[in-house]
Amino acid sequence: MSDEARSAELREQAKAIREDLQRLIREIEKVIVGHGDVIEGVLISLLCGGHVLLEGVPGLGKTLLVKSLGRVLNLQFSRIQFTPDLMPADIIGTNVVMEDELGHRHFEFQRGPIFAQIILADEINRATPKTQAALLEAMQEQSVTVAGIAHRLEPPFIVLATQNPIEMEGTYPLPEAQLDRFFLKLNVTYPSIQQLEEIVDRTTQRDAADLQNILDGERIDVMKEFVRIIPVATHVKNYAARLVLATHPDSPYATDLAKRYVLYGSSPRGAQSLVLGGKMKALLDGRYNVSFEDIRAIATPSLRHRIILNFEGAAAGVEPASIVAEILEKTPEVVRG
Amino acid sequence: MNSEEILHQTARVLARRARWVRRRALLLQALFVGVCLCLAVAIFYRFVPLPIGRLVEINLACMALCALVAVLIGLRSRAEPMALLIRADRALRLKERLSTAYELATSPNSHPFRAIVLQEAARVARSVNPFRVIPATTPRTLRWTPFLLLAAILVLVVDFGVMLPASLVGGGHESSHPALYEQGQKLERLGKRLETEARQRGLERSLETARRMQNMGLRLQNEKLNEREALARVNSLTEYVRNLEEELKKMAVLEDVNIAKVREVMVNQANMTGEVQRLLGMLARGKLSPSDMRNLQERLQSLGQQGAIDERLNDALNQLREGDLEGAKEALEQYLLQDQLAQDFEHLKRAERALERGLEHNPDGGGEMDLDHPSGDSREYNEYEMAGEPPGGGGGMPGDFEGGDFLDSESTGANSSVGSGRGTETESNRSRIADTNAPASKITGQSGEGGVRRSYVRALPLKADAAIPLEEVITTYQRRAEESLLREEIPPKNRDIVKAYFLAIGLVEESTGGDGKEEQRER
Repeated sequence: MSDEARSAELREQAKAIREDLQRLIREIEKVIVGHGDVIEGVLISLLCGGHVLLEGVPGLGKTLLVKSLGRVLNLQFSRIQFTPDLMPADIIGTNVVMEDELGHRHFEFQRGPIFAQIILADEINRATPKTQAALLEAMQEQSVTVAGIAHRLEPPFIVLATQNPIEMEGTYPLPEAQLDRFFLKLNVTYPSIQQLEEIVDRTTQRDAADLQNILDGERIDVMKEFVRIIPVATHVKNYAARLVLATHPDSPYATDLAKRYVLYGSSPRGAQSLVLGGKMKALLDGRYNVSFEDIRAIATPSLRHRIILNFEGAAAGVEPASIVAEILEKTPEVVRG
Repeated sequence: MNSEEILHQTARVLARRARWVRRRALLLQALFVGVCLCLAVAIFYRFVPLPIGRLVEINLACMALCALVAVLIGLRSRAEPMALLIRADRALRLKERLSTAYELATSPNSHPFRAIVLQEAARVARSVNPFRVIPATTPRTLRWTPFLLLAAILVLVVDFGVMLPASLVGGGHESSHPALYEQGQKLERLGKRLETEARQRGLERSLETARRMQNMGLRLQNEKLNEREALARVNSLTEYVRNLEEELKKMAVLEDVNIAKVREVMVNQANMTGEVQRLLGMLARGKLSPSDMRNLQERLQSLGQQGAIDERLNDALNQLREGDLEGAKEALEQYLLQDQLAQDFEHLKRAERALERGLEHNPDGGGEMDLDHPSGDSREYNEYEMAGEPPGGGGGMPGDFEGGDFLDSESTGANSSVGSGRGTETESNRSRIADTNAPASKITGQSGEGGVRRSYVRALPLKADAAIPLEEVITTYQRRAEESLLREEIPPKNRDIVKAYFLAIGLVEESTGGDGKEEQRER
């Protein structure tokens, strides 16, 4: 195949992906008013194979967004309401004694709600750390192990967790290992007055919109592969790496805020998130290469939940997002030599 | 032209532009450095005046050197295409299309997106304007250039004498007359040379004089005079400088004569006279054996080889060869007599001259004499070290030595002492002084602080050799005699007698040229 033909084919693929994503967004927007960046972030995570932590006060439509996504994607959807008494087996499943027609008893694995393709982990911080940890293997390895037997989760597998940042009573902060496994952390903010009016109109005057399936699992897999081959120039990768290193207080790239308030910086997953998210951004922008701008655009949702504040930072109420903002401001795109 | 070629072409265009901008910036910076150097040279010029031509040459050389360095650095500078394309991406907000494409194009590994990325890059590369990507900016430091130039001009032009103390202002020579400036430089050089000499010899007064000369030279270089004044000053200074040069030359020549040489000459001269007397004694015995005759002839010949060639000695030798012993004896006696008469005659002439001067100064014969200085001029006396050769320099005093006769003397300065040695054989010596062709011996000596005195001594001790070498004591005794006069140790009644005595023996010479004296004082 010639370069021209190959280029034409790639252009067609990219165009088709963009159109699919646009259709997906339009379909979700039938239900969700505003939150364009949150929707885009969720789609980016979906096509990058990552999980999303949605943070916002109650009533902003987090759960609705995830449920809508589950409906427009022809994927198995599962919702897990995290409560303090939720046990890992309630998520993963367990072996139960079964009796067949002949009266023979045997253990049979009863799948938990984790065995789905889109998981809504609602109010994930209400479960105990033990239960939260049940998700670790599933999120990273996309498999669960019960009684020494590994059970594969069907791809695409995406966990969309929500948490309430203001209710501290009866909640358990997510452990760092768990946080690090989320590709992006998206903040769901309060809608504007126009958006609020629209929400009121949609929810009080007519029935809920009927959403259609736009994408299936196979299509999503193709799109995921396409995104991964988008080229990234060396100096852009270098910029992403320096951004991640700048979150570490002991790094020579660290900024003043990072040195003062950060206990631990981002893991390498942060760099992966930056580059992959940058690729998705470029694709959505109609480009075939990643720019510094793409990296910068995805930096805050990629890094903010990976920065662990020290006591001083927590006491001072420093937002990790402000540290990332300072890093973006002070880290040069290109370093000479 | 395919996409890759377009991309490379863009990179080349940007590289050309980057090189040009870099060289321009380097040249501008070199200009700035050159201006800084010019300012430094201008400041230096205020303290160490240079001819204006030399100043311009130095400034031009500085500028040329800076420009040369800038050109060399500019020629060596290379622009990386990748860096330029990154810069173009950032400047034109091309979202890293060019740089990513260039990386893919130059990468040995194939990439599925290579073609499509190159096409995208080629599309945007057509709109790349190198002047926007690499604008020709002026280095920030150059904004100081006008101020530096202004400062350099101010330093060169403005007379800081009205604002600063004179000691801080060197002053250029533009305002002074060129000839005056040149003479000033010459005087300064001579002063430095004299200072070196004075340091080596530990002469404090000469050192002070040398410094005065240098200061005068510096002042002269900066002195503002009109044409006539300048020429008058130049004429007087030229004369002064010439005298100094001659003096320094003399000093250099006299230095060649060391003490050992003087001693050798003196001993030879004494031996010669004694030898002639011994030869006379041999001839007086009457008959001589052939070996004595040969011995006599050889000794006469050796006398001639020692420098005492005289007609009578030659006659004596010839007559001796012919066997005429009486004739030879007579010739030798004539030789001794004539030598003695010559010394006596010389001494008488000096005494007569001294008496005449004494009468001129003291026509009444009883006036008070100026005892501050033998010559009556204390200023001249103080400066006798450095002055050229005044007709009537400071007086010298005779030493108490065995025989010998001072006919003339010189010093490094103006000291011209004339004296006559007085010793145990004074009367006989006096009677023997007459016109003579005997060579004058030079003696160098010093007593305490002051100039080195070099005296010419004609004739030699007639009897035994001096117990103490003449050159070691003569100046000491002279100085002591001077000091006795100055300290007024001599009773007032006897001063005239003492003065007359020194005048009679030719030690103190009065100034014979008023003009020369005045000139000396002025200097």
